[in-house]
Amino acid sequence: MTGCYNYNELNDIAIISGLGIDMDNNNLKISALVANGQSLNSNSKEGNAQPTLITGTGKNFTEAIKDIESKSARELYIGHLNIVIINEKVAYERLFDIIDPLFRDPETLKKYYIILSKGTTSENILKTLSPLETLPAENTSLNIVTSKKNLGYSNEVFLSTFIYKILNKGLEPVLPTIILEGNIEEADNIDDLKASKVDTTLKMDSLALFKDYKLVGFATHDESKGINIINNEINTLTITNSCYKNKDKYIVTQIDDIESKIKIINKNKIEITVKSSGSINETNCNLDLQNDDVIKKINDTVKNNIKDIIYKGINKGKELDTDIFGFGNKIYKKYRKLDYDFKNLDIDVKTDVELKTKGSLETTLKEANNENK
Amino acid sequence: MKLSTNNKINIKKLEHINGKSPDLVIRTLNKKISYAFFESVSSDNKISDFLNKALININFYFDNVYNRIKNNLYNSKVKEVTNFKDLYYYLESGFTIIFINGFSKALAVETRETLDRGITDVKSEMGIKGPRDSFTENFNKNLGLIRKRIKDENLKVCEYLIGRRSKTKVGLLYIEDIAFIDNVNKIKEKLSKINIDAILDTGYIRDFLIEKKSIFPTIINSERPDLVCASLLEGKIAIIVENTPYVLVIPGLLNNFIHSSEDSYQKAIHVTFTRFLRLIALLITILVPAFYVAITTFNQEVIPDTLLISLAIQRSGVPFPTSFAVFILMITFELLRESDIRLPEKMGTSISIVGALVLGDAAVNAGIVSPIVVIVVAISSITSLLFTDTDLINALRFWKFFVLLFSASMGLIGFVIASLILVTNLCSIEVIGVPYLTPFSPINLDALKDSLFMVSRNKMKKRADYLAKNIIRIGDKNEK
Repeated sequence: MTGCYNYNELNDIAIISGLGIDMDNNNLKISALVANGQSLNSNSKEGNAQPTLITGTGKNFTEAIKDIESKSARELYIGHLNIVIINEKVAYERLFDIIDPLFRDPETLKKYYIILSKGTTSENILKTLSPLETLPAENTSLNIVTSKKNLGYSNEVFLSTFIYKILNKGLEPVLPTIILEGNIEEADNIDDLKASKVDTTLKMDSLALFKDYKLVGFATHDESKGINIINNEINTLTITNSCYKNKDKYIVTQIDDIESKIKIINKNKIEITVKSSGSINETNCNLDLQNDDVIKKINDTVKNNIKDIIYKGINKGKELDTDIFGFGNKIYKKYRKLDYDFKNLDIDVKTDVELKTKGSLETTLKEANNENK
Repeated sequence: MKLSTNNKINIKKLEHINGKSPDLVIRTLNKKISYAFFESVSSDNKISDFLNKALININFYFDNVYNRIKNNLYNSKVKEVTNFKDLYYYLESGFTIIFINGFSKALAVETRETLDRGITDVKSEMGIKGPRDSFTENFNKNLGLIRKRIKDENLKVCEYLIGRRSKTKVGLLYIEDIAFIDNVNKIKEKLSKINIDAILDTGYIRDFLIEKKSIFPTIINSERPDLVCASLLEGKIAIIVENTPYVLVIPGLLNNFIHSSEDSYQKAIHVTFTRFLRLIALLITILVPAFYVAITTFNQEVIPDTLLISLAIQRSGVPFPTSFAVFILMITFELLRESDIRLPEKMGTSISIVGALVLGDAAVNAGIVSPIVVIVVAISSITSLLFTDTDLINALRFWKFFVLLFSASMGLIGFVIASLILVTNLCSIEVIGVPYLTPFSPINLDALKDSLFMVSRNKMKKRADYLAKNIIRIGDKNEK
């Protein structure tokens, strides 16, 4: 119920759009990115925000937030939270202590992104993110996560998806990771952030695998692609192959429509069928692309490529003994019992590729050149 | 007070009643005849032409002078008066009274001067296509404008003289085989019961006609004869009042205030689009300032993030709370609107420049209000001017402030409560037995064809039966 006590003017609240969680000697260190910070220029009628970063430490989540509140001039408003960045150390040791208060808070919608920061603290990532947020309409913090889905090895995970995967039997979650490339000057004063930081860039990296509320390991790019294919969470996949005759030249195909179906034959055997279709992006081979046999050969090569990628992903999951694909969940739904041996599951992968279009060129330029002579 | 047979006594009595006002002219032609008229309301030409021509040729030495004069007069309208009350009424109306010695009856002949402006363009309910003549202050001309459009023998007119001192002519019009006779009798009874000293305008009568008062207008007040005729054909009742160019039409439903008479003269599908625009304008006018106040001060979760951050940046540095700023700006716009009506044209430009500068730029730059508040209030005020009836605009103004008050104290819940009160109020208004929101609730399919949508005229075959009893409208020659 709202009433007179809920009256809050817009400049009385500090809108928090990002949270970063780090470890600091057994304590939690939380940094909050305030989107409408105090503006330094006197003309505040423009649409430019001045984002500021406030950090606080504490033994648990609530104490750290209280520390932040004591440092902020205004009341914190978490209703519009966009991303939460968790450091890998926290994920190794204290993930459960974070997830519980995040999920329990009644003011937030549970639809914000969670990403893991690797190799650097979340505070640094938020520090790099904050000057990019001066035009709030561009929503940089969201775009960094969502636009990278096209790479194939990254993913976007909401808190609600994360919790759903944890709570379901036989299913384990994954999280995308973000890394910082370049130099970062440890600036004490936030004003120095206005200096150009072109050397440092934020980059999304491959997936992190979890088991039982703990981070257990990271995957490489190919393995992440395989995991994403099986989970039906991949947008596009780009595969480069070298030509048959000339190993220096290459042909690049882009697979767009990937759909994988998991079928359970019995408790020890699973069959995965992957159907996809794509197009040829570029090539400098000397191939006759209008010949059906040539196209069939390319199809077969790409099929095997996809199969290899999927097997890599499955092997990584088996190596870390975490069922991130949901096989256990499907077995539970079919047999009503969760006794299965994940490491020794026999997984049979069948792939099918259909190269539909070749772009705007029906043949290669060299072939066309040859025809004209 | 009866007339006497002696002219001199009558004339003295007349002068005594009148008190020697300078425009009372009394002329005695000979021992038999005198006449009196008011110079201010009578037409000199007519008197000299008709009267003197007629009276000079009468042979007074025979009997039955009275009837001979009466049959010989050139004027078109002749009445007999027997007492001073009627005599004075006719004198004031511009008639000339002829006193004939030896008879206790006097003759009143019509020599009226037309003291009005003639038929001009419509000033307030503008349109692009369609007829542009408007009613005037003359009762007969108004009646004529209606009669030349409805040439039906069933169009009936009843006349009343209301007001002890003004004795204004009030005419009630209806079409006998379409309108419900109960409604007509109700209105007739109410008109005959009015006890007031003067009626100067339709506004004086309006309060007597409706018992249950409401904020929304329930009587249409129109200057256009085509609108009045269209309403008469639907079964409504029209009231013409002398000396005012506005004609009342009862009942007026919400439907009618959202239409304009233009709608009948354009293509149906374009009219449908325009009517939807007007409905959106109605909602925007009432709800937008209150909605803005509710979501920025109580329920910030509703706003998308990037917009929220922009609004928060604009808000910094403004001393007043949002609801107060919105309230102040709304009052200022209403002041502007009022002053605009009374502004003489010569002062128009400089004052409007000042108004725009003050309200727009300067207030924002001085930091008194934030720019988004100016936009919100301006949108709400401009869309309210889409409607032509001032009563409706004023009703919307009241509801704007009402919903704002609720929103400012309780947020979105207050907004919803105030909207529910508005809808309940609209549903509860009734005008002579017809609910205000007909044809939307209760649904009336025939009338729906011309309410929010409009179908082309050859498909509107029946009149709506909540007002009319003879429902075949077109196509059937034997309407029964």
